[in-house]
Amino acid sequence: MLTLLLSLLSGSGGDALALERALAVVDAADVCADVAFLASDELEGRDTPSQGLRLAARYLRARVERLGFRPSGDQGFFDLYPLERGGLDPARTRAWILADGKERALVLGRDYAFFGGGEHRLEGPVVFVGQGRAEELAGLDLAGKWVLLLDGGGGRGRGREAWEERRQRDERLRAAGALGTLSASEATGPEAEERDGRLARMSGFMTRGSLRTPGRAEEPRGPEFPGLSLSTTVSQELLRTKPKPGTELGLRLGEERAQRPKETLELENVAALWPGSDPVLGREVIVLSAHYDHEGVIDGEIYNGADDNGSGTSTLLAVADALAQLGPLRRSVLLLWVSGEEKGLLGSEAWTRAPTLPEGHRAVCDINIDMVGRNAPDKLLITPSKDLAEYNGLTRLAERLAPLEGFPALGSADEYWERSDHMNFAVHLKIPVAFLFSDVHEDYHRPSDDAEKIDCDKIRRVARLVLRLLDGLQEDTLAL
Amino acid sequence: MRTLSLLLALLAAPGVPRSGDAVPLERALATLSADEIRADLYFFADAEMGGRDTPSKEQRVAARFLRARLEQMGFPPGGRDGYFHEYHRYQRRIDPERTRLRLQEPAEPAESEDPPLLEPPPPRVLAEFAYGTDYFFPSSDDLVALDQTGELVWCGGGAKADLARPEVAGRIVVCRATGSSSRQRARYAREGGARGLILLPDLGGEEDPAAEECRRTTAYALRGLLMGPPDEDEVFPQAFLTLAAARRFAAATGLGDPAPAAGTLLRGELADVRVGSGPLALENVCALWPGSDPELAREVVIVSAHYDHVGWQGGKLHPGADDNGSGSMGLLALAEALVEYGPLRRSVLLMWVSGEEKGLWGSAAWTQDPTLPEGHRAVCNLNIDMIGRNAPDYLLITPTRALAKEYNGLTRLAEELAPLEGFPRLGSADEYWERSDHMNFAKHLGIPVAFLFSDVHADYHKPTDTVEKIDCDKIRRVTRLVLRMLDRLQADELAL
Repeated sequence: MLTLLLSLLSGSGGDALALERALAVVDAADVCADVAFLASDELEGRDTPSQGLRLAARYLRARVERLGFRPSGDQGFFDLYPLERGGLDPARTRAWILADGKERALVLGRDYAFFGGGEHRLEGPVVFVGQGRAEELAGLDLAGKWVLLLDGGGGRGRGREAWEERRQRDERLRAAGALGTLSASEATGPEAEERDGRLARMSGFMTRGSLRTPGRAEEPRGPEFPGLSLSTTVSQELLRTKPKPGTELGLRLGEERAQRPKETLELENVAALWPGSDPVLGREVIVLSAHYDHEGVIDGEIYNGADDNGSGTSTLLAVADALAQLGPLRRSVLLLWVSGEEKGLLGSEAWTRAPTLPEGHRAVCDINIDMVGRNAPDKLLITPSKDLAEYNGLTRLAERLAPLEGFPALGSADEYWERSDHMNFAVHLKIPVAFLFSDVHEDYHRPSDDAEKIDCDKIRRVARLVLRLLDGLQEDTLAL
Repeated sequence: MRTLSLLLALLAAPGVPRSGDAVPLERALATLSADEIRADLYFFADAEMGGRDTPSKEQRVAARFLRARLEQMGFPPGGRDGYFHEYHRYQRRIDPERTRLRLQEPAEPAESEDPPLLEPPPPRVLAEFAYGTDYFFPSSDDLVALDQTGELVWCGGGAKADLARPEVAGRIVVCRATGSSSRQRARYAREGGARGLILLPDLGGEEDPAAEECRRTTAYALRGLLMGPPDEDEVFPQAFLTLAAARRFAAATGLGDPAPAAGTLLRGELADVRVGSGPLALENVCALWPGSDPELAREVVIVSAHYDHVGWQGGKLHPGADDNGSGSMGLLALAEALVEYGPLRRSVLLMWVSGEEKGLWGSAAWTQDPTLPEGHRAVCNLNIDMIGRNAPDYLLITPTRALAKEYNGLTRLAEELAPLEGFPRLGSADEYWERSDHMNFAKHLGIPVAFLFSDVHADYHKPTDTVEKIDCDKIRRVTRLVLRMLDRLQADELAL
């Protein structure tokens, strides 16, 4: 009875019935259970690298192993890849003020902060130069001295022009032999709080360390010209005597910094293969990717990343459940959960440079899913849209099928074209890619990106759309 | 289309009896798969799970893993509010890394009224003493969270009159641990308004009573004691220094020989920092499979397994794959089989308890605060712990006939059904009668219990209790045996 009804409705044979049965397996409560686990506080925001990330990887492994997926990493389900960690060594980074024969330590993040690398130990007197305009600098002996500037000196704002102005100012100061700049602020009230908060975030960013793919040349940069931002409290202390521009303050300032020794870490992508049934087409692999890492714990706050990207991670799990019900397609499907996305798409870069597919298999396209669990139920974006030269058959197919799952029209995510892992598939494997995304929101990259805000039914429908896409990608010749 | 999907979902949903199927038991038995149990166990006993110590973050991860799996199989919650039964313990414990007595220069008086623009430098440390080597606590009441700093006043032998001196108020008293009884001394010091008491041995003598005490009492302070929270008004911190530490202390504080008069202030101030004690919130995981019979459904058969293990010990990870990853994953497999089976006449409560390794805490907490729905009552408990090692046909049970008083229908049933699952006869686990969670069900609920166990082995409570040694097919067969028992516990009258 049921079978008959389904056949009538779909108007086709057994395949359509099988698809309907598989679609019906996708369940919002199941999705919620996965999201709740991945975004629980105990996983501590799945930073790359972290125990929470490794636990998430093992959870994914347990889920797909039970469903009968084939391991497709270099170590079972795990694709191991190396990353190099560098960055500032907080234990050997400090600053101090010498006044009246007494040394007082400045605390990084509270009293001062900076962007930039290098290793040095500098100490010298401090000259106040006001805004640091050319006329304020004229005739001053700056050799071996710190140059104290008021905030925004030499060009306010974040624009390219202001940045260029500051760069030129720094060049002049460096040429004059200055040790570096000290930016002071006369801000008070909420503005001061805002500024001091920025200092804490700056130093947090600098001391967390940076990750990069080993062997990749470091970005070329000239010799470091230190620029320290001082907290409003320290600024007040230094400017207490209301010095005139050009005056030397009666104290010395020292600053020392060091980089931590380079360390190589091993990270994990999780790769699970659903082998195709066709002896020839089975070698063509459709990749579904989603990053499973997030931001971790910053300043004691857990960034749970329920939407970013617990949602995409769970979408792939829901697709896995449906595929287990559906059985093999003609082509193979690889579920690939990558890490290191938040650190610069590092996991997908590693995988696309050395794909872990069985002998004779090759990736033919990638559908990437990142943040699909928030905003209006019918809102879903895709890139490449028609507006990009990269527009391809994946987008066309998605546009055709999306209305079946309650997304009447796909919007454009073209401004995110370079922002998630699909990019690495396009660049390194030169295959068609598409990116499904339902946009940022007020909790984006905040500790409040929590599981209870996720629209699990939306994820369910995205998973169903992906399953329909897979089903639509089974013709003899893929025209993408 | 949506209606259709819904219809399909309903058919696939748990708890809906499948009409026309005569053998739900056989079908449910057939769903149990050693490979699936293995996949779960590889997660549960992975090194990243840190040995699931009570308490630990990893144990909470384990609980959330169980919850996610139960939710996905559509197995309803059985806690008071969702799947977790939360219970509390106050732990008195000392973290030796962070617990210190630190003698330091007093803070410099502020130069002006204005708040300092730069943080003052940390106070100079004159001497530092480590818990467990330099001093110990005379009473378990001293195992509290504390961070206090105070000036020091010398009070000689701690006579009542000396402790009543005005200098005592608001200061930490230093005195010889001789003379008046320790309880009296503490009482007088408190009455005098002292903030704490530092006890020294006789500096001129050879006796070092604290040294031996340090060794003896440190062990339990590190392990942790559960004693309920301290009464804030009753906290009066004391510490007893060893002879060597006391000599350093005397030198640093300027306590000379002969000792000064009682009431003399000593040099420096003392920071007494005690870290490690505090309240604990712990979790059992409960899932209730409601029965179909309007009357019998109020009778609840409980199947339990502890999901905690011992974590890190001696710097080594103890993964606890058999103890009790095996029973925990068996219970999870049982949940799946029940979903396939559909409802039994009676209800079944699956319970994963924590704190077993610490002294059966989780089962003690639940049996004294059961989370069953209104009108329901527990009728028996079957507990499984360590069922994944030793010979494939080897399985023990307690109570056996030899424990005549406890021997019951559960054991008889298990003995009857075990051969069907490759256990020709059940051996005796009577020597473990008091060793796992079933004990609490017998003791606090007075219901018949049985314990399935396949014995200890060379890796018992060792870092080598690892997952690749586990016989997952054995877990599967024990789980099948439990399911067969549940299937048979459906008669109108239970004769246990």
